[in-house]
Amino acid sequence: MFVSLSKPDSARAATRTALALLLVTAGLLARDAAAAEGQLTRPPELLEFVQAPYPAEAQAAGVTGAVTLLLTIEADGAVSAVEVTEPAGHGFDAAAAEAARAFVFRPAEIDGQPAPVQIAYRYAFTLAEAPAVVSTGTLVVRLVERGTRKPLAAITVRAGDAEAVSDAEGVVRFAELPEGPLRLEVRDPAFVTVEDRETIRAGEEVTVTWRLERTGFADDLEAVGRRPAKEVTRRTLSVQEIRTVPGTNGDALRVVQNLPGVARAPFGLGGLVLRGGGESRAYLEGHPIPTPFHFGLRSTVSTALIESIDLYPGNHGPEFGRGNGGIVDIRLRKPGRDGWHGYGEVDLFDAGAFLEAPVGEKGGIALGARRSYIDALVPLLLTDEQLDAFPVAPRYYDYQALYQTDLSGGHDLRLMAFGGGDRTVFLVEEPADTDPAVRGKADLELDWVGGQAEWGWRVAPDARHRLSAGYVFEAQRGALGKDLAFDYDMHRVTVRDDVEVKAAEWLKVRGGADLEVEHIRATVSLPPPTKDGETAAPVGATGVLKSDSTETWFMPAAWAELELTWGDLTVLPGFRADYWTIVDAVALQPRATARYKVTDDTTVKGGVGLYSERPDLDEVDPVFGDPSVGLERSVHYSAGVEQRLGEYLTADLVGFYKDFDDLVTRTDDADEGSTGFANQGEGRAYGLEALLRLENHPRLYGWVAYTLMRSERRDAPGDDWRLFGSDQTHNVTVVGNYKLSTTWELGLRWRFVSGNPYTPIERGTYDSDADAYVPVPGAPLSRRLEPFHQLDLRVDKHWIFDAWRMTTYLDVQNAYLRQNPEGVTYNFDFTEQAIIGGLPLVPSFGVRGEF
Amino acid sequence: MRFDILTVLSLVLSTLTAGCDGDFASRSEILDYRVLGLEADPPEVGPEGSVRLTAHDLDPEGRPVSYAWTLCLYSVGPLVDFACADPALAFDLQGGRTVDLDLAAYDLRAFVDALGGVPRADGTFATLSDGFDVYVVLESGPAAGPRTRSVKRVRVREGGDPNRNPTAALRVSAERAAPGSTVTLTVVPGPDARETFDGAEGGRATEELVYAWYSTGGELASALTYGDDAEVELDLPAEPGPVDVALAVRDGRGGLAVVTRRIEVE
Repeated sequence: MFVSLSKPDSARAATRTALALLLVTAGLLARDAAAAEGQLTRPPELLEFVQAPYPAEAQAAGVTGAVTLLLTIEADGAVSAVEVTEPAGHGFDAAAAEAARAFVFRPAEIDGQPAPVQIAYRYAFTLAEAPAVVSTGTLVVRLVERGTRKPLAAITVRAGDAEAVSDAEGVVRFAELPEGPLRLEVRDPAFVTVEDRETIRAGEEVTVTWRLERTGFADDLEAVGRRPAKEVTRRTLSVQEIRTVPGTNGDALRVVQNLPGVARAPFGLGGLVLRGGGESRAYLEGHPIPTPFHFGLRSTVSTALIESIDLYPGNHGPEFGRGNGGIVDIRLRKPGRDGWHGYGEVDLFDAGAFLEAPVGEKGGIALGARRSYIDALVPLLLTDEQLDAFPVAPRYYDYQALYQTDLSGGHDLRLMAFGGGDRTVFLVEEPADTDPAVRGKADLELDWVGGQAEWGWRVAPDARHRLSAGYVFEAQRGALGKDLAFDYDMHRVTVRDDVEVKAAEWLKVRGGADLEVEHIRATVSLPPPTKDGETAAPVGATGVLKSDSTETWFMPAAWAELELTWGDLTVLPGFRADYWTIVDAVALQPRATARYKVTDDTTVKGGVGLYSERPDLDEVDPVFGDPSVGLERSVHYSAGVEQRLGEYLTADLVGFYKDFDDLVTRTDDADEGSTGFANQGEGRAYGLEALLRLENHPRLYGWVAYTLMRSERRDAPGDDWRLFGSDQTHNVTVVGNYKLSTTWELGLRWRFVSGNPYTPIERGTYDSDADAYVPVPGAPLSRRLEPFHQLDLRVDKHWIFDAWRMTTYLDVQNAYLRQNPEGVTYNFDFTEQAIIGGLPLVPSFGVRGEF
Repeated sequence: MRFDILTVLSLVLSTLTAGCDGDFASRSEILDYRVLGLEADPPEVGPEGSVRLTAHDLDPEGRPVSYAWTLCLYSVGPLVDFACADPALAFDLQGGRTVDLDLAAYDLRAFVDALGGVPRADGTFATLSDGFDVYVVLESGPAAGPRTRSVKRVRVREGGDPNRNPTAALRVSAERAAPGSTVTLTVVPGPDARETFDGAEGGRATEELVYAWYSTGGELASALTYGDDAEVELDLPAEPGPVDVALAVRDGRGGLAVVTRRIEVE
């Protein structure tokens, strides 16, 4: 008799079931002698079969077997003894015997009476496929960047045979995955490969978060929102470049000084002299920055808020004006909306913090602040006696708050508030031999506060309108000794309204209006300021001029520009009109640029335009200057070529010429009613800028910038041409940054700059009343200092943790200890001179933790 | 350029960096012919007044010195080396170390009337009652030595309380001292040295005296002292010989007094 048993159906799929086959042979053996003499009238009948578990070893090996057992069945039908007579091994014997002991029989009958018997029983084990069972689960994988916690979009995740790409929130979802273990994998060139296993459970959703570590350390390797070029020359710096160029301590505006067309400022201080002069302006989202630098040392705009910086050394479009120099335009980024992020950092000079967070679904807020702590260190570093000379040690601070949100209907809103201040007080107890009048307490203070509001509206896919307003209040106070002082307040309101419309495939129209209003109150007691090429005389000899003035400058402007495209040729004719009160002058400034794409990799370009700026405020002041002076003007010409040299390398070569006219210069004679200024000067600046740039490479960025330039002035008709004060014939900058690994970066900067011109002093005339010698200069700016060259090195070390990262850097300026000449100094009667050397080796160390 | 913090900062920086090469000799060391000051007595005079001009100079080598004086009624100022606005306004003065100047000879009233007031640097015009400066220029020096060009303003003002030169005495702690020793120099201002006057901002002000110290040998602790800081130490040279010390006292309004003493180092 053969019996086949199987387990009932279950929810699992594809299981294997062990079947036991029961075999009862006809051979029965009487168990004892008494029964042996009777007649078997009824054989035993198996009433309860017990399933033996399939031995694991045998199942794993896929082995089957049969065990023959001798069972002793008592008169009550229970099995009292089991003996293995033909073993099968593989664990079958024990399993079969164990199961058989639990069998229940109807007892055998001999002569009609229950009687014990022995039987041979063959217990067989076989393997057979069970019917397939389908059961699925869901897996959710959330991808964030290790260290920053930023969600990672567009990353491919493989789950078994399935594949999906993470969305903007960094989430990828797999539905109906088969139950059981599953292999997961992320393999992306930007991140370290991750492999793992997850177990999928039927009917459940499993969520895992993976923190992917970058193979490179690319903070916005590509400038976000890089706009198509329409200008002859626009150079853009990314956040990574801003942060890591050696010698700049991550200072955005100082990094700009490493680009072609920008003169090097003495002592490495802040300053913007572009393409040989003219007033250059720094903008923050289209509104002029009140004070670009703290004491000339650090820029006043936090790098954390910056998306990119655009430098226009000249020939910029009509949307910018009121300057004969160039433009630096800082663009802010949107506060992050993917969670709370921030950083804290400390370096040699100051400490700062930054925090950003989402606001609602479409907005974000960012807060930043920085304060110097030199004033806290000074008492620790100086003796009490030295400390007497610093009643208030130098300190500066700045703060910014930014809110941005997208609104429905294509609108967006940005609000910003900012402020800051500089202060120092120190004593000049021993005046210089050359100017005994400059002594006493020097008290310098600068404060500003302001804000901006901007509303943008994408009217249509090809039409955009932007209206923004800004306000700044700036106060400057200074005093030195008892004679020198100034007290200056300025309220500035700026309004911009810009429109851009793509009217046709070949035509874009841009236009706008911008207004600057400055209300200035100034009380001044200062010596006459020296102008370019002039030599300062001792204050005791010149005396001070006193002025107390209040004036309001109203400066409206309107501009328009067309962008006309014919195939590979783009022409941008434009026009700007400016008006200035006070000088009551109008400037009509046509401008045009053209770009022609010779090949996909080669573009030739050129431009010409008129530019204007108002005279300096002291030049129109009735005491210090001459209210009758008018605008200074210039014409910019430039032409060049852009060439792409492979995937990462670009070259840009531009020749330029700037023609200055109506420059305000000092007249030789003091006319009746004036103090000797007139629009009689002229100037010219010409040269070549070359930029070879490596970017978008995962491990390396850098550039070689070279400017060859000549900038000259003629102070009056008939005068000889002389050099401009910041004329630097050769200016070479090599910048490079290389990621040794994901945690180490090395950077270098090497600069070579022709020495600045200076005016030699031929002798001194002794002013008996001032008790000082007044320098008698030789030909203005007729001598040149020895060249400047310097190597700056920087190393960054990063530590990446799950939820935050830390960076330390060491920045060494002037690594080979070059004693660079920065100026000339003289003895008390100008019979001896010596070179003022620049700063020696300047190490700087910083630590930054960000999350 | 704006009136901004960088204006004053640049003045301070130029002060701090000026002469920062430690190899320059101090202004207090008289190593060659030097003009210590030009005295106008009185420093302020009416348009018809007389002024005695004196060149206070010192030559360590004691050489004979020549002097050439010029009067300029209107100078364009220090930025153009005190050039005279017009050659017709410049006059040679005859004299040596001392010159007597009689302003009546130059008809300053007519000069001021012709201009309608003397132009000031701030664009205003000064009348005789406001007061204006005429400039005296001196070219001086030893025949085989350096020539020095010096300038002195003489205030011409009608009415008011004219300024006077300060008076002072110079005390030395020892007229004879050992080589390498230290002596103390003390200025004793005269009783009327610090005048009070009408300040530019209105109200009365008191002059602050400025003391300029000089020596032909050794090393002075300070080249300039002010107000109540009336003492300075002189480290005498290691070699014996005479050391001339001089003190120039200025009142900040054109007044000057110069006093000299000799110390024998032996």
